[in-house]
Amino acid sequence: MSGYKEEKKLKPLNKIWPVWRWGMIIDLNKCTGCQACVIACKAENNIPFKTKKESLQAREMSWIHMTLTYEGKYPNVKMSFIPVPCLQCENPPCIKVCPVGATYFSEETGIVGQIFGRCIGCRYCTVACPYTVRVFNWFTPEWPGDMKKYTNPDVSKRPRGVVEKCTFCSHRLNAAKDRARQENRGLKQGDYVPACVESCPANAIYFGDLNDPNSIVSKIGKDPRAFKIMEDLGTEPKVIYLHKV
Amino acid sequence: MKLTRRDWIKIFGSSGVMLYTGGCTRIQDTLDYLTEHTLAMEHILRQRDEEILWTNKTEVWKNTTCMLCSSRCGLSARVVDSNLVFIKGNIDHPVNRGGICPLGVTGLQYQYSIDRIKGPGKRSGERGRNRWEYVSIRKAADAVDAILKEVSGASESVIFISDEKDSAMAILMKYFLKTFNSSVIVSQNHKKGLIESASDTLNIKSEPIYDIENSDFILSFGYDFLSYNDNFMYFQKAYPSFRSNPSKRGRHIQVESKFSLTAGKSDWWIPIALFTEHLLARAIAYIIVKEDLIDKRFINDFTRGYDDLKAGLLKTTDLEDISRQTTVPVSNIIKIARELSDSKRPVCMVGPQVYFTEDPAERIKSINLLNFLLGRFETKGGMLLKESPITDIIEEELFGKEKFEVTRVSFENITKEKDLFKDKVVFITQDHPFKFAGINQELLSSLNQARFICYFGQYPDEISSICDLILPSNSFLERDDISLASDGYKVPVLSGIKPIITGVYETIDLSDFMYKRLKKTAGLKDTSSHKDFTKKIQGVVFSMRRGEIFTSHSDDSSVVRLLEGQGFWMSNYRNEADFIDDFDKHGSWWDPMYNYGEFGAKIRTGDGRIDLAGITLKQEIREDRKDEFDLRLIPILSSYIGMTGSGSDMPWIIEITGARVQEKWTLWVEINPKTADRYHLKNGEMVRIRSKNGSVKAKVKYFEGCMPDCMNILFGAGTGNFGRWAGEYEANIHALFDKGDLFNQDIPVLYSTKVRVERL
Repeated sequence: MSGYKEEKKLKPLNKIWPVWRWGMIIDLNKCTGCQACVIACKAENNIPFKTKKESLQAREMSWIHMTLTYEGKYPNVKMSFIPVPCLQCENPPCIKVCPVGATYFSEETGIVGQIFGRCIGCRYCTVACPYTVRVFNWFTPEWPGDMKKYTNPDVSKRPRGVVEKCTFCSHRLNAAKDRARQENRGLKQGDYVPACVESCPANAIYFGDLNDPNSIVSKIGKDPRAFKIMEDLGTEPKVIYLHKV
Repeated sequence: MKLTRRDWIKIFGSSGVMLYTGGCTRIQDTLDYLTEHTLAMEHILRQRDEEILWTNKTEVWKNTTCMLCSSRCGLSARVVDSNLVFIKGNIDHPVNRGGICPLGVTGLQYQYSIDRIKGPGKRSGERGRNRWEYVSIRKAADAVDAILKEVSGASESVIFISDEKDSAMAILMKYFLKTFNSSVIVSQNHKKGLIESASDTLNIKSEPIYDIENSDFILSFGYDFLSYNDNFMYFQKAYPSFRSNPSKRGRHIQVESKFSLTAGKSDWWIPIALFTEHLLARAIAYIIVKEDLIDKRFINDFTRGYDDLKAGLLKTTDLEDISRQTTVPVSNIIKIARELSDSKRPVCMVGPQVYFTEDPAERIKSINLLNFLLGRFETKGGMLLKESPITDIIEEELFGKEKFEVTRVSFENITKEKDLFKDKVVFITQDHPFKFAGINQELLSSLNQARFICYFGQYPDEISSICDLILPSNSFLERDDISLASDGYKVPVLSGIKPIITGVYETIDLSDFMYKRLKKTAGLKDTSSHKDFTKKIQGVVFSMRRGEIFTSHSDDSSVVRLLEGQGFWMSNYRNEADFIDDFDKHGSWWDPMYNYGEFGAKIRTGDGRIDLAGITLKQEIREDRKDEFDLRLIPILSSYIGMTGSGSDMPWIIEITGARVQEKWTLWVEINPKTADRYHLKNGEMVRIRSKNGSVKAKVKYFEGCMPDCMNILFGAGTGNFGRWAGEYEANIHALFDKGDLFNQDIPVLYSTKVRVERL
């Protein structure tokens, strides 16, 4: 009951929360390709591992994948790797093609979300996404034996036949908002951090509000090394990369 | 234990759920085992299929320390309703400062692995039949007590087979042995070559570490440190800092026989013929000496024999010949030497490609010579020798000057001393050396002479199958202990290992178990527990009056460090209780002061000088015998897979280790397209790779980063000691290696194997 009384004293939501544009910056010069982000994402978001058979059918799932490319001939070989999560476009092509409105753009946060219960599995969005970051659940997700104990209770386990993707760990944003609201304050830097950012041992991933000129992403985003993938498509991704040209 | 009809159907109907999938020969054994000892299986390997019902009533974050590699990173684990659901890096830990590697997150899969032994088992039938019947922990403990009572009083009656080190439990293990008048621990030291080379030159038994965060130039000889090293997290943090130095971006040249991840991040990859790294080092030393690019102050003050070395180098070095043998053009050798000596703070590093070979000490010394010539020893950004570990100080404080000296016995001794285990009580812990090398007939017959063998591991493996008793101990996430060191870290770090979850399976706390045995069978009067023991260690560290509890707010303020350098102690705690409370809260203590330039402490030769003339600079390389095996096998080492291959039984690790060639769940070999052409091999084709020791099936992957006449292969793949996921590789890479190379030496010889390709 005391909680109810405190609730009444809280400021209205629109006074607390500004309009965010959550964005991410990945410094490719710092990235060591360790893939901690990939595994932390799987652990946080209940992404089941696939068996050998499923994997050989290219049914493996990952919300952030490490793309490695090689160029040149022996001995002048060059390698580059890019961790690619959903780029959280400001103008996302995936939303336009969804026939049932299962994927949406949050005006409040700038995050492109997915309503799994509404998804009919047509995969139009998967085809429309120029960054190929959406994955389809071909099989009923399984965690054998006691492995199901490590699933995250804050994140739903998606059924077979739906498309899923990175949400910038938006459940963490909800939890951070709850905590901040209880303390009658706005969000502070570091209150909301996706699992991939948190895990990166090289501190190569930065996260914050692009609308806030004082946020770390706004500052680092001005680095001359900054670029966006396939910028000419006009999708305006909110994941920015840094790389020395 | 009540068995329902459903349970019976599960046990008999889904043998796949319960198999140890280590190899085909084991499957029949396991099936026999299933049918004849169902009840035992029910307890030991039973899977629980019930759904998890989250109530979300309790959620806590607890700090502990990762024990999956020797970095000893701090972890923060999220526990909801008594289930461990997430692991992240502990931001208050000096080693990882909030970061975590994939292996650390995979702790979740280690904890809840299907293959984990879930309760004690007593051998049923002959040794080696791998048949077990369930016993309670109390009965198992009684059996151990009975056998210990029988041998108490006799000398050298107990042996540990364990690689456990630098923890309170490791100290306790020594104490346990001492109480039973015994002194032998069978363990393996993979760094023997590195230590020997330091010992020969500097008369100090310590392995070199590289201060790359303060360097501006790295010349790495066969060290793929972003994939495999003893302090994975240090390099993951230090390398980005080295590369993004605002004043000058660090330059990195990678000399290696395969295009590794580290080579991919470097500025210049120099492919080099195997076993010739020391020749390249010699040629670089020749240029440095010839062009007088040495650090004269260091050479004058801390070395002797430079003139002899110079004369020898100038007289006998043949650059053209070295270029031919190493495959590195002379112009490149000259360029490297000049770049190296032009840098302000360069460092030359020695990697596994050099020290995991036969007799590596001389070759390591040739590379270390470059650091000496440039005065890059014990200076900021150079090659350092780790401070003496605090383990010694702690042991001395706890037990007085009369420390428990144990004899560390390696594989070589076992094969030499046939009766090592005869009539002994043998205890084997989770981390034991045979996980890496496997067991052979010699070891098996030697072990079979033991009076009693007890296995404390958490997963079944080759050695557990020949034990008399399996008594699984807690995983590192269930364990209560303290870690005293982090390998390869230049300063001492103490980390708390706290139980994150308890009572998941029928497991024992091995430290407490040993304490109880000491009290029951050896008449130990001490009434304390292992917990009190770890508190004592914390007390000793407090009394050392140095260092601080590391928190995310800790800084490297130069003023504080300066004062500490003058002998003032700037701690962030007031008394011992405060120290212990803070330690438990934040998870670690460290002493950030590293005293650079203390040459006297590190050069322990009689006159305090390094004898440069004594460093043998070999010009010759090992003769390559021509035989039917015409391709060199170059192992890709991975800290995630580990030397024991344990990571290859973790699905998450399997999913990421093949990213370099977009391969998952299948063993692959990388081959240069031109070499593949010569053998008419197509990209993606399955082939058989055969060495003189055995063969594996693997997929051919064209890779421009592979040297001609070489093949790169993932070391440890499919070696996961009976694990079902490792079994999915349908190949055990260890089959290609000579058991003698892996088994009989303290130095695993991983680069000597030659293979041929057979088309299927």
